[in-house]
Amino acid sequence: MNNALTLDGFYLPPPIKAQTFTNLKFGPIEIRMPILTATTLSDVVNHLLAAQERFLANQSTATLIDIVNTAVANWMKPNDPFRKMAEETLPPITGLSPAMIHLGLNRMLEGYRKDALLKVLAIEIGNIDRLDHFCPTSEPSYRWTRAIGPRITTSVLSGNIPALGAVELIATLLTKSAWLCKVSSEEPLFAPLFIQSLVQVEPRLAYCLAAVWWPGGNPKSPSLEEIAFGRSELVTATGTDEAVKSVHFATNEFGSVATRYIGYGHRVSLGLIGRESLDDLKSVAQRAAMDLAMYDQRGCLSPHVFYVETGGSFFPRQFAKSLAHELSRIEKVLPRGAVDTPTSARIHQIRSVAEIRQADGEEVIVFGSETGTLWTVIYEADPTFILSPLYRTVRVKPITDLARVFPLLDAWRPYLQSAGIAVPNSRLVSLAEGLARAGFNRITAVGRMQEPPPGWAQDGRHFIADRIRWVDLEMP
Amino acid sequence: MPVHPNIIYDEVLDFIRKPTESGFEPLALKVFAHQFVHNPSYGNYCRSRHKTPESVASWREIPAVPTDAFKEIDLACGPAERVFYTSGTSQGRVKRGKHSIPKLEIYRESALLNFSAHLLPDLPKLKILILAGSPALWPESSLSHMIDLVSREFGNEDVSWFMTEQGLDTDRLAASLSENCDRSSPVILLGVTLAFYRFLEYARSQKISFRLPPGSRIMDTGGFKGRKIQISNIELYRQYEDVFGIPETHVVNEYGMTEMCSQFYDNVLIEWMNGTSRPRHKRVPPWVRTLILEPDSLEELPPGTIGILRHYDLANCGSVLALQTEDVGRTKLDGFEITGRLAGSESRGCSLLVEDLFRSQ
Repeated sequence: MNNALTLDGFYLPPPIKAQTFTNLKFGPIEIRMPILTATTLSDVVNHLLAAQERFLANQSTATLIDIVNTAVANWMKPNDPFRKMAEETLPPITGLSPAMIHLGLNRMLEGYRKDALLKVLAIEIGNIDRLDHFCPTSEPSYRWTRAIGPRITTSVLSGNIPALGAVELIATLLTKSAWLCKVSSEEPLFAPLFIQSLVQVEPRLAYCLAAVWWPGGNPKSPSLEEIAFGRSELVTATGTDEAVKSVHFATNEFGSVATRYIGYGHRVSLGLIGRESLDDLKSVAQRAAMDLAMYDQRGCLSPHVFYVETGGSFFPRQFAKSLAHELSRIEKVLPRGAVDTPTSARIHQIRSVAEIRQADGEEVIVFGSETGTLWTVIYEADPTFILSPLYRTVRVKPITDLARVFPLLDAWRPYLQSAGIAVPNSRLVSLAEGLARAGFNRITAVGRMQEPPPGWAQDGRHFIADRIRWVDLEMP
Repeated sequence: MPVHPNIIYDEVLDFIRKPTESGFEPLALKVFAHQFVHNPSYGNYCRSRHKTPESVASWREIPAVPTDAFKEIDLACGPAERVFYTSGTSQGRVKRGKHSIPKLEIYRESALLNFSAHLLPDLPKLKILILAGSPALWPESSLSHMIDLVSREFGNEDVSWFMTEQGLDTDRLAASLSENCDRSSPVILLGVTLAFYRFLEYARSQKISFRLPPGSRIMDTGGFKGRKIQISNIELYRQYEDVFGIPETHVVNEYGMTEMCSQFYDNVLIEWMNGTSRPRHKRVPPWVRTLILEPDSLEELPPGTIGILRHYDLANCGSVLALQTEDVGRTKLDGFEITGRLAGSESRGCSLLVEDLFRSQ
């Protein structure tokens, strides 16, 4: 990209137009954001409500799945204009490398196809027709049920992982809800792009979706938050604990007691390598390295620590060395993106502290990229769970038995997200049981940590079922 | 050839008293050779980086220790006369940094000379009011020790500490300020920025303000360190002027850390004395060098470019001379300015300590 490019980081349902704008700068790209007035936002909500009643509420779930399926299929085409725009602009906006954006978009979206969505709905709702009309239950003569989505869902998005907004939007559409999305100032572009791609498939969706922005923090835009959260039937928020709490607070303040709220705050993940899986050291290290490298470790599914069991055919420190080697290989094909100054400084601190402990005779080994902070593996005997500064920085810790990890994670219980495990099937169930009780809500194989299937229980929530309201029809 | 620690300490003391431009490098290399031998953890660290007194030819090549290392290892070159601790964070999950000082006299000399140069360029002594905890209240705090030294040396009568176990004693401070408004000679307020901020809020709620005598001054330190308080320095200094009657030219910010014996001060009062008005920046004492490094490669940056700060402090001759911080800034005139977050939050953490006190009120 040679010249400065100005793009819109918002989407307003026609005919609503914003009057004034502010620009956010991301290197060569400027993103135009509307400065919303309460009147404009109120208009937006009125239009969304009307369009939901007029159009969305009357579509069959099958039709909506087809629309999503077509849009996602388009995104998988290399020449799709929205895809091209995203691939061109997301690297400078997010700091992730172009190769990472390319892979990330594929991974994030490709699962949301018709078959997968039908399966998710079947699991969560049982009979998918319940989203369209009353259906008999197992006692048909007595009670029929119907699943109704919110009229409007407001989603506050975070900016750490691009394309997360697509998942939120797909869930919203499947509940026949209009969508008001507050984009993140860190990555305001993807949500409006995805909305436009859906509108291209089904033009009538143009009136059902909106992406806006206002300065965060509840005291700053009370009138906007009153409209957005007060008039939604479901509010969802992804982001830092602080941001998510602030949305929760505002939802309580401005919504009714019936307003639902789903918050996805800070989460941490880690990997557990059983001694048996060290037999194929290279394979397990490769898979662990991919879990770590994906999205430069910025997601809540990214591992902070790998605990490696002693007593296998290799020592845990050999796993650390092998992991470092794989990270250096990944760097060549999937380069680490840009890092801000405080994070670089933090990674250097962590590396040098580990080096000085190593020099002081502690059982610590540092493996790091020769230049800069591209990747860092710190092997240390101290088993304490420690947060990583991310951007491909990880600790490898030996442990005599994986079950000994549970007490180490006690303090982290509210934050535990995914555990990537590499153990033989004979140990799987008992380890999983322990992890579930420790607070994790997703247990998967090392190497698949960054590929949650559609409809996965993010933060312990159902993808669709937590968004809907059940209606009973009691037969006379 | 290593020499007896006392010889090195005396040389450093002499240098702090009578610094020369050309004298810094040879003394820095001598201190490095001393630390290489007498601080085995550091010596091994240098060896692992293939840096030895034989191979290091310039102070710039002396391996820097990350400030976080003070949380893990005792980096003293000998038995400590005094140990300072960082205050840690409110979650209690982070280990505390520990700085052992084998020769307090050096700390004292550096602190007093630097303080008087930047806060008392015009006066030998004045009345001192302190918005920080006394050594009895904060026994492990280097800031408290430093202020105590300063107040004993430069305070011209009883020194008043306004921080109590219950937090800042705003009523007593207000009463004292009121009395001091009638004086003819200037006073100085020393303390942590958060305590000043607390008093500004108090003054606003009580609708009170003070006109302290001309020449009165403020030394604040610590900033807000990642706290939710969002106030620009311009606004903060405007409020200082409104509430204390002390103009921005007389507000000197201090930047320091537990891991470092010397401090940095703003140039403003010196400028005012000289009748000049160059922009505010931190001045580097002659026994200290500060480098601004590219954050990823750690290469030295051209002047004016933002990077991370590394300090070489001869007064740290009893622990480690070269300190790698996480503080972000750039060179400015003959010093530097901090532009990014003050990662010193964890290093010194006094402001956190104060805020915890406020919370418990």
